[in-house]
Amino acid sequence: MYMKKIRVLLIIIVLALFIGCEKILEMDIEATAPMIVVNAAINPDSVITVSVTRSMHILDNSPVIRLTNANLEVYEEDNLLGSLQHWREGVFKGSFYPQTGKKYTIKVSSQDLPDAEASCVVPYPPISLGIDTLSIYDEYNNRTMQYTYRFKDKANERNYYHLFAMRRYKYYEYDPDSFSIDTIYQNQDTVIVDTTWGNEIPKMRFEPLWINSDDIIVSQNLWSDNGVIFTDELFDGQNYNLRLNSDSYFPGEDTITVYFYFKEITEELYKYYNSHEEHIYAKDDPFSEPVIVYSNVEGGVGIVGAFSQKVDSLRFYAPDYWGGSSWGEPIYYE
Amino acid sequence: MKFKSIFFVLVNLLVISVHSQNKFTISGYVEDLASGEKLMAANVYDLNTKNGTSTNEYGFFSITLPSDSIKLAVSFVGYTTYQYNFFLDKDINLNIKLDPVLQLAEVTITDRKADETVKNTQMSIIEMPVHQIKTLPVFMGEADVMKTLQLMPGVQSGSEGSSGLYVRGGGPDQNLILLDGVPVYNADHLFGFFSVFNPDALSSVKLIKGGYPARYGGRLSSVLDIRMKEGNIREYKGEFSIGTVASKFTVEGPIIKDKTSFIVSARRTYIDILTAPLIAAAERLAGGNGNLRAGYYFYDANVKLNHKFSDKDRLFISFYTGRDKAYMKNKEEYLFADTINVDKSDAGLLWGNLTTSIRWNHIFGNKIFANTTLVYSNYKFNTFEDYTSKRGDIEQGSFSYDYFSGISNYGAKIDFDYMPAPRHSIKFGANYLYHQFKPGVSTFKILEDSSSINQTFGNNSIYANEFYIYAEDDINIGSRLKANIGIHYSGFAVKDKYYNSIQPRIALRYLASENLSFKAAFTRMDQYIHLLTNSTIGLPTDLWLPTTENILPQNSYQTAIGGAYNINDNWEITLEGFYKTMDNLIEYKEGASFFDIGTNWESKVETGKGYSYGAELLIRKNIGKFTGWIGYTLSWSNRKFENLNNGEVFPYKYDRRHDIAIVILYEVSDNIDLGLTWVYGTGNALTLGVARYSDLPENYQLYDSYYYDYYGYGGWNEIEYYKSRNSYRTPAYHRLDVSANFHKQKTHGVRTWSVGLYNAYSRQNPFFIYFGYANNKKVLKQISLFPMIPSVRYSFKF
Repeated sequence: MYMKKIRVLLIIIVLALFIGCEKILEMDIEATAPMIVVNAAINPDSVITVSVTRSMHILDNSPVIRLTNANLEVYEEDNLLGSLQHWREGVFKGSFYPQTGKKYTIKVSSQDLPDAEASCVVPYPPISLGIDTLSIYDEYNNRTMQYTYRFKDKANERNYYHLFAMRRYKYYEYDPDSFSIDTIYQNQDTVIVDTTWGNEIPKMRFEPLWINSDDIIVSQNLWSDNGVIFTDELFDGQNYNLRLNSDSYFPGEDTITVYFYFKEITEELYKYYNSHEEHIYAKDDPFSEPVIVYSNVEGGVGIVGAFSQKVDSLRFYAPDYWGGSSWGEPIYYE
Repeated sequence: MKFKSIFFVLVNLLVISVHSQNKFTISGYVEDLASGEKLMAANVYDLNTKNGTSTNEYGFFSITLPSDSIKLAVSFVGYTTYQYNFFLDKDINLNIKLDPVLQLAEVTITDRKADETVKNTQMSIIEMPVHQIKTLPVFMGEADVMKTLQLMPGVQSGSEGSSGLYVRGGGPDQNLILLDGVPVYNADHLFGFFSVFNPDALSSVKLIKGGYPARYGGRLSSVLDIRMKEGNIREYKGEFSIGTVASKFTVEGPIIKDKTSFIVSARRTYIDILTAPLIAAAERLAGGNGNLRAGYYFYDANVKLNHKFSDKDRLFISFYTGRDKAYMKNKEEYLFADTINVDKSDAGLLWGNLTTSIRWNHIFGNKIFANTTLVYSNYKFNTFEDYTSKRGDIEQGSFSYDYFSGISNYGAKIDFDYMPAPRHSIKFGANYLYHQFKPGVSTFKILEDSSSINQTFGNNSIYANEFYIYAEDDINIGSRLKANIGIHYSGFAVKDKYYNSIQPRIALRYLASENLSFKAAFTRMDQYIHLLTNSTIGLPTDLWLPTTENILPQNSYQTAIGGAYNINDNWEITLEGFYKTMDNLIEYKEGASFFDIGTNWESKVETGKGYSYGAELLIRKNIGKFTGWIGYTLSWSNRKFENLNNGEVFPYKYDRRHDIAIVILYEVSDNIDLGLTWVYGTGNALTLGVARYSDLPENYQLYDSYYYDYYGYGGWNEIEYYKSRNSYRTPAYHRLDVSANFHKQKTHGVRTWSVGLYNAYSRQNPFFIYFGYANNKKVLKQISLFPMIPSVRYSFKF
């Protein structure tokens, strides 16, 4: 009996030892003055487009404020090109296309906030040599697609790359509100019709395609189907064959077109993608040291980078493209 | 050239010291009369000529004096002074047995006189008497070497409950932890809440923070030299105790009286045994079948044998092993298609050290003491998961995963102590270590529907050779100036690469008066192995890795100056300032995680520099009913890495501006003693978001309205904005611990009840801080680990 009491007592003590306490910390987190957030990845194929928002205090949980009234000026080689106009939801557009090899500076001002400014030089397009495909079966007997992206690196300079894929296909979407009418019987006075509710409506979809690579040169497989980034550190001036894995299912039929966007990006954009990727994972992992996301915006925060791209496309007929067991739910729903 | 000159001086000193015809040598051991345990640092002094020496780590001394009448006094604090008058006309061998003053209340025996601190050349040293470690208030009733050292200036504790040592701005990987001369690679039990050293088995603990003598090398920030007891050579003695979380015992005694002795000591926790029924009950309540078994335990054991072949030859064999295990087992049975299905899963984490050393002490002539040691050390970490599913007797599928990492060493070293004359104490020697690094190997086995996968992947083992040679002389230059001048040369060979370094070690002491001295030291240290540790926690998963072609050896320079003052041989006051630079430090790249095992470890790290400087004050009272100390450290510790924090200097995670410890021990009577410790430290540095902002909406030029509607153009993720790395401070850390020991003489020995309160005023110290939500508002939350924790322990010593 005595021993039993001691045991119960010990159990209570041991339990007491391992109970942690949680409390809300009444600490002031330094109120950093709000900053202009400038985000842009300019390229010669599109008019200059810039997203402008405002930073928020870390404990402020309200939606991000979009600076729809900001003033944006774009300089080419330090000469004013013109202003950007607000398009929608804090996104500003101009009417000019950036040119390769030239430096662009974006200056942003908005009421009560410190002015922000950032520059970048638009790189020359990369040299693509072609794409090989190989369809294989994995260990679970699922059919997957492997691509080998072949390209040539420019010698004696550090080059930064981003390879990203999209796919376009037709698919049918069930629309429960639509109906079709079939005439069953008709004579002079009477028309008997049968109504069928719900129809498959044909639509086109253009969406990112998941690609991923285990190749040693790859620095990051970017989050949310945003492709891979890498540098030429290990193969400067040489031809390189980059092997990519992808899935092989798609929810459409007939044909599918896969577009590869091979981009030469600026160093700033590379650093941004790299740290951003690590930041996302470290942010919610208590065992990782937080990662500071690279920013080149003076007076504010964000990234102004540039890229030049080469787009290649491949077209697959559906029977060649999807594997038997690869049917699945669409990745994205409207 | 400079180093050649130093060698030349040393060689000359050796030559000059060859004694003249009228000098003779008195040599021998000083030991405890009752146990035969050798006493290190005992004073051997001739009252006539005022020449003296002290015993080395093995209790050996040698003093060469002119032929004359000698009044030899041998003293050690806590023991009756031995005096012997004779005429010295030949070499004499003396084995001196000192009688302890008090038998019962050990607490009054202090091991250190204040004047030793003043007179010693060595600065930045902490000698911690083992009985003091056992008397202080402790966490959960477990006396802990590392946590006691954390109470000294210049030594910080890292996070709550951790037993890691952060010495003068360095990391826990920069401490050379030696147990009987063998390196120990992971000194943590239970994620660092306890250290692996069981104080019952230890005889001495010494921590050197700077001014390293040439005989030590291989780490940047400290040397922790821990010696195990040798075992009582005269009679059987023992001790056992039962505590809140662990129990332990120690037995020692002669195998052949006055020739061979042993000591065995072991302890084990029993949290797992106590909590097993609770876990099963909780699982049943949650709807399970009560088959879940989960728990954690650790154990450790020390064994040492000691044999005296003659007065000139002794052999020691020591062995340590420790193991931590956290485990979970489950078994589920269910009926499916009229057949009983059984699913079993078993998962766990295991880690531990094993060290062995064989030492041979030999005395050549009567002036050269040689210690030859063979060492083996191994640290292993393993995590595993097994799952099997059976339908009837037929296996349906199985899965197993195993991950191993670790480090092991084989080595040999030889050290010589040469005492040619009272003015010189020369040490020289060599050390060799063969390293095997296992940076992490995983094995996967899957069996499913007759197809199977069996894959092993990870990093290959790496083998390396490390060695050093050294020489040092502790020289009296006149009556006031004393210098310890040494040189340490080390080399490291790994994968066709060879690194080496010449490290000067200089320490000076100037005796301004009998009670006041000033000291200065300059040292260089090199470290060829790195600990790859995630910066926010210390886990057994931390990897020891060698210097490679891409990751160079760490090195540091440290300069220290200070003074020591002694009041009435009882109070000692030391004040020291230090400046330390460190190069080739490694840190995980931002965002790299242990579980990212696919990539090579070299690509996971960044290298950079560290700078630390500060001042340390220690006021210590050694003798009397009141003993204890006050320690205060004012320090700065910063890091600079090209690819971290945008290349700008940032505070080290354990940069602590103020660190205070107050330790008071009061002996109420022979039967009762009380202890109190209070610690205060500036909060740890951490990186915390101060703002949030939207990211670049990637590829938005391409997307059609469908994407726009779904995600908008503001970016999909929000970025936390950090002002800079480690720019935020957690609230300050402070804690009060109290304890009381009640001793009573019984027929067969002394029993002691120890009670204690850890965190007596239940301060909620931050362990972990994160952003959470309360009432739909985003708030900062703090997790604290230990509220007020009582502890009780019963011990019996016979």
